[in-house]
Amino acid sequence: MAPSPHNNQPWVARAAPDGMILRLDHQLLPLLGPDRVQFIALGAFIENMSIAAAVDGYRLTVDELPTVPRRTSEITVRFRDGAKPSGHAAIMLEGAKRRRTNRGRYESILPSGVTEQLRAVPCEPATSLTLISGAADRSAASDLAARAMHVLFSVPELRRDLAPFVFTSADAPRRIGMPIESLNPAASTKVPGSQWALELASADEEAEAARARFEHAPLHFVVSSRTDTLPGWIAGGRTLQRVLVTATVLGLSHCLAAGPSEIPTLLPALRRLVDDCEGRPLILGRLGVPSFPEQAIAAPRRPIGDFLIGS
Amino acid sequence: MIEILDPATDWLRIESLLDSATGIRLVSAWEAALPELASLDLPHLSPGSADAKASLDEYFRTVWTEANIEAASRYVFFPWRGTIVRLPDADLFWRLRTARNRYLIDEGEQREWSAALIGITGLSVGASVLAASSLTGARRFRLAERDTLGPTNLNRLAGSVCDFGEPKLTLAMRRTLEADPYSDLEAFPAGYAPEVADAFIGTGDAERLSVLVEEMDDLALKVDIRFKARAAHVPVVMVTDNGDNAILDVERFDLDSGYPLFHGLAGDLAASPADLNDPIQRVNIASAIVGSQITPRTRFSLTQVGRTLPSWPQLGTAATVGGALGALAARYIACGVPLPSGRYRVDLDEILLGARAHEASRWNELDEAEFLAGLKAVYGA
Repeated sequence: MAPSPHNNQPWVARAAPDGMILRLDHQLLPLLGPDRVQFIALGAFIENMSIAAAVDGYRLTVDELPTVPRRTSEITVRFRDGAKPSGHAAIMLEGAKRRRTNRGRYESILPSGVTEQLRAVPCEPATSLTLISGAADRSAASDLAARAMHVLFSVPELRRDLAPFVFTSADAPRRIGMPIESLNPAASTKVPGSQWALELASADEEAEAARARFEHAPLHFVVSSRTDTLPGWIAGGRTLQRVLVTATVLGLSHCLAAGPSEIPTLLPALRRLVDDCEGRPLILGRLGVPSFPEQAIAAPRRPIGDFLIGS
Repeated sequence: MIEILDPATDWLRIESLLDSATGIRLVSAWEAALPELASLDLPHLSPGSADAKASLDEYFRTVWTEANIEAASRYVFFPWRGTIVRLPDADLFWRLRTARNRYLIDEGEQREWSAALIGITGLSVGASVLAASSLTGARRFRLAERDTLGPTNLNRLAGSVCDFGEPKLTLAMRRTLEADPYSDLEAFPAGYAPEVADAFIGTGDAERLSVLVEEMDDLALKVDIRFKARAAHVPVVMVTDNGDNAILDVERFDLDSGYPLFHGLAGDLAASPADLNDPIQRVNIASAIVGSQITPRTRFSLTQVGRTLPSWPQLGTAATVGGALGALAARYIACGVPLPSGRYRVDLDEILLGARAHEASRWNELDEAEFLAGLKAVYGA
């Protein structure tokens, strides 16, 4: 389904007469943010709804969004009938259901034709997709992913933000978060995930692992938006989800790295990787055929009743 | 003192004030406020980037249309300035004014501090406490002072020679309102007196003070207001000059209704009321309250009061640091930070000079023994 930071699935929805009203679930947000990635996740969630609606002949529209992102911002989506049920949408919906993050290594060769099909993914207005296939640029992107991972495990408050979202078999079952096997297959499953995140994970090792995984991936991508505002983030999330679902349909796995676009010292280098006129880089990702498909472990999903609230 | 006018309902009054015949000047705050609002609403933008420019264009186009600006404006008339300021409304102004406090004072603390009702009696050092409190976001005050501004005040009180003869209360209110017109100020222009205790402290129908900052010179009134504050469970903060240093006294009558006045340093004033009109008694009690742990120059100066000095000498450095100290203590109390009763010292000279700060080597410096001997000789203390 929709990707989200640490798989926190930060959305809440309530029914409206001809659609839904969505907002961030405040209980699932980190204390300080960043909120950009949370709204990108909400955009991806909206895109999933759009795909599902299209299967049944409905067209999803998003009401005009406020420019200023606030945690309390409400987003109204409406379903317009009269569209023709779409076979392509059905394929995409199946892809959305199968979509899994795979943080393992990818094969260095891409199946033929997939780059062109990804390049043809229709982007939301005022957003763009940059595909990075050249070795030098991929090396630069890998360095950014490694440095972001190093920052994540070097800054205590970021580790504390991550800790509640990592779980192992030693933890009680979760409705959100990431199983440790999907993060680091070599990590012990006998200690609570929070202990791994807070005490055991090595910044150097995690950074080098991220570098290796990105370097082996044959294709990287960056989704950007023309503006760094709420409409830009929601639209960027929708474009991101189209790319991920299309990649899934094409038999590719993916893994995202938000750090390079969120860490101020890394952002300039990420900007240099994409053309400045593409706008604000929102997220970096890698695509490829997974070397170890079993590492695409299904993370828990909140049941609908958990995020669909009464009006 | 000021008029806050809403263009939706007060347009006639605004127009009449802005008539060119009145000579009233119009200042718009929005030119300065809009870029700052943008930086608060979109703090994540990368300066100089194309997407930042596009984001700001979208922001100003959609959020701050001229109609939206007018709806969010209040016209504030400052008669003593002959000026009307077109200002963001109370909520927006509050957001702007406290923006640089963020995380240093968290949102809950900022709300509690702005909602707290701070009483200040005596607007010499008290004016410094008022200024620092207002700067950090307090906006509800009861102020009592009957004195007027004179030239000798200007060594410690931010003032202007243009205002000689004006009530210190008026000047303090003007300064506070010019920095935050939405402040809620209640004035006691005759100063504190036992007759206004109920209204000032809030023991009758009036709202009870959250914190009392007591900065009066009159010992009898200092004692009286403490008895009343203790009975009303109102905590008291007092800052005293000590050379370039400041001494803070905190009396948590809100937590301990039996806490002795002045930490008991003046004896049990309730059990054996002193004759506070007797000058010798006054000096003895004041000396007991302040103690002898003061700077060598303060010791010397105190022995000169009534002889070569008309009153307790004070420095602008001490008034400034005392203002910050008193405001911080009041904020801690208002925000529920544990701050026990007691005496606290900020000794700037010791920070800069170390032990040398305590040496009495010049003609205008006394060590503790000399000071106590002098007091005893002169006052029998």
